[in-house]
Amino acid sequence: MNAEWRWDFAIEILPQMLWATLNTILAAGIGYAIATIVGLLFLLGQRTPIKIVNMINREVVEFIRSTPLLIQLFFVYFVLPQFGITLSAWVCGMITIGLHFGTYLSEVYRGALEGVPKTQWEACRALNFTTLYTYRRIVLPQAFPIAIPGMGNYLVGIFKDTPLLSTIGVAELFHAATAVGGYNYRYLEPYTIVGIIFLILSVPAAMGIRKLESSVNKAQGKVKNK
Amino acid sequence: MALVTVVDLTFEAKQINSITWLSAQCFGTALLIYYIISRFFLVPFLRWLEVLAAKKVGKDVI
Repeated sequence: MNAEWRWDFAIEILPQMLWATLNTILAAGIGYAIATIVGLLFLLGQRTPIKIVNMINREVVEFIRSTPLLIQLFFVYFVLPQFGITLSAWVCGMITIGLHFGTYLSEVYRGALEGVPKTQWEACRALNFTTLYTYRRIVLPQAFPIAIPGMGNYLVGIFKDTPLLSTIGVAELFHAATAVGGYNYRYLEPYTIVGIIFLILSVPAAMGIRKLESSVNKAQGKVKNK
Repeated sequence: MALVTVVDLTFEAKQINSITWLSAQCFGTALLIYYIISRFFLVPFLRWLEVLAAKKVGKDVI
């Protein structure tokens, strides 16, 4: 294997890598969309007054957070067919990523809701607002800016964890790089391009999240945190 | 690390699965081991450290 950088090879494989990047972005986007919804469901489970539901929810969240995403992927992909549930690698990947990061997002939501001062709730109760109105007009607008940084971090986190999907055969960026490398017996260029593409996508995403956070804060009349 | 053939728990689970094809048992056991280590050893240890550190700087235990 030659360790010398070859520009012609890098340019030759670039279209294939960019095509695979679309799959990576798609996987991250769908995974994140599922995670935001799953996170809300876990949050509801946490805030329900039924103690047993609370406890089960807590343990499920702890279990998913305490175990590696890779093994969860293998478990969903290899074990479900044994019970007669055969899903494609894409669906398995999206479900696993959604569940895994949903547990983390539920903690972000919880932190954001607890970040709203208790006096706000008390004031709403004193003014005889309904629970729905209190959430919609008072609590959630205040909780959202608190949740943005955490939610943004996990968006970038999901994006960076998509290469794990290659282990179950999802044709995303890392999978394409490994395939190109194996076919041509040259790994330097494909893996370097993967790194550069991830960097190019992650940095603007992180900057965008920061910008969104500051614009939401500004819209709410808050001073921007430095 | 299992992806670069470091013989860790995940790698072993994968290896055993490829020989026996008992996926539920292999990956289920691995998940359980990770959970037990994290839930009953790492988390309590970190909580204990947190309490210790809080006490050292004279703060109340959270």
